Amino acid sequence: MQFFRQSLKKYSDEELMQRAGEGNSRAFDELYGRYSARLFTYFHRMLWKNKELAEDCLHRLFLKIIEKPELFNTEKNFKTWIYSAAHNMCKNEYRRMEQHKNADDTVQSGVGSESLINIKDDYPLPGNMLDNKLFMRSLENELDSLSENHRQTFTLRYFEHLSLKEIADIMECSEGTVKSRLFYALKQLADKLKPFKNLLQL
Amino acid sequence: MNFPDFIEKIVLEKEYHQLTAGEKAGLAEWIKNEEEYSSIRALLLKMNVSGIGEEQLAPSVKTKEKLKAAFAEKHKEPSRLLVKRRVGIISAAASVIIVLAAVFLLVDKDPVPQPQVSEVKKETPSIPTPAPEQEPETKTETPADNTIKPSPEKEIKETSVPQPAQPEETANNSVALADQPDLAGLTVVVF
Repeated sequence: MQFFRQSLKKYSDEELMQRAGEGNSRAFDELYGRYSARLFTYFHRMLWKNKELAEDCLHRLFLKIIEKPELFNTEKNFKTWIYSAAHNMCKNEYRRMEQHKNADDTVQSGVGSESLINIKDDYPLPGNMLDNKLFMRSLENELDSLSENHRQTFTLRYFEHLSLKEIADIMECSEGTVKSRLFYALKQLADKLKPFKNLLQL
Repeated sequence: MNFPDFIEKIVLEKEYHQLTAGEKAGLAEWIKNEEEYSSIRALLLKMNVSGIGEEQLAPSVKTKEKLKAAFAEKHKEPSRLLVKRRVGIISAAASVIIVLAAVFLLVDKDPVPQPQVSEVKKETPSIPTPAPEQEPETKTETPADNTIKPSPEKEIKETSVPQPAQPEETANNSVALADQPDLAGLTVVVF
């Protein structure tokens, strides 16, 4: 069994997607193994750290792969395609949240507002690890305060390690737009994290 | 100057005071002053050290189970492609069988091997001219219910008697099973 599993690892995402569409469950498992954690983390980060919502989005996304594999063009890049789908799902969630927000202003209470003191209490970690944890938590909190497009661009670049072209394809904009959004986000975050400059200095 | 790849690289490598005049000029499009440069540099360095993007959350096992069930449900019937493949294989096999059957039938059309018939013919006695004295004897011996008698020679004579006027061809085709006691007396005509 291990042998067969290893042999599937040689396949590209696109080939696996094609096989999954034909009913090959191991190909689907392999794809799920490759993308489930990173997409779940992506949804979690983009959707106000709401685990249930992230889980639901992940489920719906892979269900789309099962139900309508023909939506994927095997000549295109699978990674770009799946992130595009995830990006669109996030946009839908923002719209839905906006509608809820109009009805009830308290929707976002408690989201992205953890204080550094709480983080220290929650994570009794030694020196560097605590610093890193604090930094990451602060960065993610500040990221939430950016606009949707800037947050998406920054996340895709620095958390998902995608290229400018891939980000441009996912967000359906030019590479120039990606660059300017990225740099704006970088500057904003650097500015907002100034109070932690000592922490940021190495 | 190319952003983000080149700028990220230079910002991570050098402090502001280490930049050349050319590099400062190139950066001016994006970074205006030393303070901005330093804060961006600190952020990028910290992101690198912290292993940004490396930490991943694991989705619950339930999600995978639900998806596996959905996958099994979707593909419980053979997929269209598999059906197409099977139909293709079956039709190819059917074609081969039809061709083989046709070839077999054509080969089988050959007439019944003649040597056997001629051999039997040799054994068949020549048609005797019935003697007037023997007639009553024959009549008495021939049973009324046409039961086959074990004496082969006599039976062959009797059965062969009514066909003396037949043409040679027909006579050649008649097979007397005289050497088989049970079937003695029967003449098989092969067309």
